[in-house]
Amino acid sequence: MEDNLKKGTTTVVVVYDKGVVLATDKRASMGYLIAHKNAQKLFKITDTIGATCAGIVGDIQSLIGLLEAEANLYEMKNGKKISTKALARLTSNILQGQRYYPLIAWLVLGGCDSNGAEAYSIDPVGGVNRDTMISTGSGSTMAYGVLEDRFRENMTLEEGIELSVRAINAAIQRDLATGDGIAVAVIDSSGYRELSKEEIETIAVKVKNK
Amino acid sequence: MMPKGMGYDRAITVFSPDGSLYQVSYASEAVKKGATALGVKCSEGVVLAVDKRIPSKLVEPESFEKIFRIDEHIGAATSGIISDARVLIDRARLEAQINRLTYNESISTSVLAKKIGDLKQQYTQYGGLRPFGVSLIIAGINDLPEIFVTEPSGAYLAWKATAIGEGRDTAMKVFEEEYKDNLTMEETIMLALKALKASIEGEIDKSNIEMAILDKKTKKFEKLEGEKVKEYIAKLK
Repeated sequence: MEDNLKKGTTTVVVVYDKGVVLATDKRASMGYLIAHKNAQKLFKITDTIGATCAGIVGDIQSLIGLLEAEANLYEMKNGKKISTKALARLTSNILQGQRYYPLIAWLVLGGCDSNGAEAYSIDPVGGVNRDTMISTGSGSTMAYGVLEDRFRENMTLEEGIELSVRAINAAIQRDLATGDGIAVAVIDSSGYRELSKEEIETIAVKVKNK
Repeated sequence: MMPKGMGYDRAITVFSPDGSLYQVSYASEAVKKGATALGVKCSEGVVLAVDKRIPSKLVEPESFEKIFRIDEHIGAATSGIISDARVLIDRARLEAQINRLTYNESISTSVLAKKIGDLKQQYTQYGGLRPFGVSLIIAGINDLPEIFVTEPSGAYLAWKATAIGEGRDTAMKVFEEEYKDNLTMEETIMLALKALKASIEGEIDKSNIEMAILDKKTKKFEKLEGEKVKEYIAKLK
């Protein structure tokens, strides 16, 4: 049953010169069934931190809810927003604490704060790795092919968004469990912003034409 | 008919008719009888200083410790019942490490002061306990230097310069007259020493006081060596 609930997904997180781009597809699959065509895998946790998720929908939603609550509590107790680094550690602790009854969720946290723009990949048992380019989900093999070829450090915002869309698009074309459109969010020093459908469509068309 | 107030100091959890918790007030008296401890901050860091009030010349002065390192970036000076202080210091150190494990970040001074305040508050509300007879001056640097004082009631306040213990009034008078917002680290050390000297009967020397600083540049807690303290005392004269 678990295998059937597992979300085939592609997510991509890219750190560019002034922030971080988070991108996901929108398909939720259960085996050969496309369960949902507008699934949310991109989440805003605070004004400065976003997350992309792959895994079991229920596990993801409960974990994200918990992280939002913890982030709010942290802000009230400390009088400042939680950093991406601190939230990554906290997520790791929660997942590792459930080592023998794990939440099936692969999270990537992306954020921009006084430490700069950062991305953390967190596996279901709490392994944390910081990187400037991360992909998760069943389509990550295809996405990584694109990322490895085209990613550079300190890209511009436009380059970052285009690369993320290009990587997700590669997975949409070749991974059964990835599809139904793309969601993109950008986090820079002025906060979290999700791109409109039209903005993403324009970029997707551009990507497909070259 | 019982005399006024009679009996209301028998349990900490019982209010007197006029709204006091006598045991908590008595705990504050223990702090007022304690040796003077003070903390002063400036834009460059924080200085902590205490009167060690060594009871006998036969005591090894180094074994007397009233300023404690809590974490790399936080220290605390104590006044009151020293054994109560040690328990709070242990808890503060534990909380600092828990914060590092939980968030991969050093604990902020205000969060630590609140944790200690919360613990002290519990000891004013539960039966069978007695309040901590100690105040802590918690000094730390995260982004900015900060000083907090926690009282036996659990109340805590942030200060620019403050003193606790028997010499509080004298030291506070010195601070009120001479504290400025733009002091250098050296001037802050000298002001702390001056206030401490004013509040101690007799001479001060390197063996009967203890000092620590937190420099904004290093963000590290550092006890001042006896020789260094001696140099500063010499400058005071």
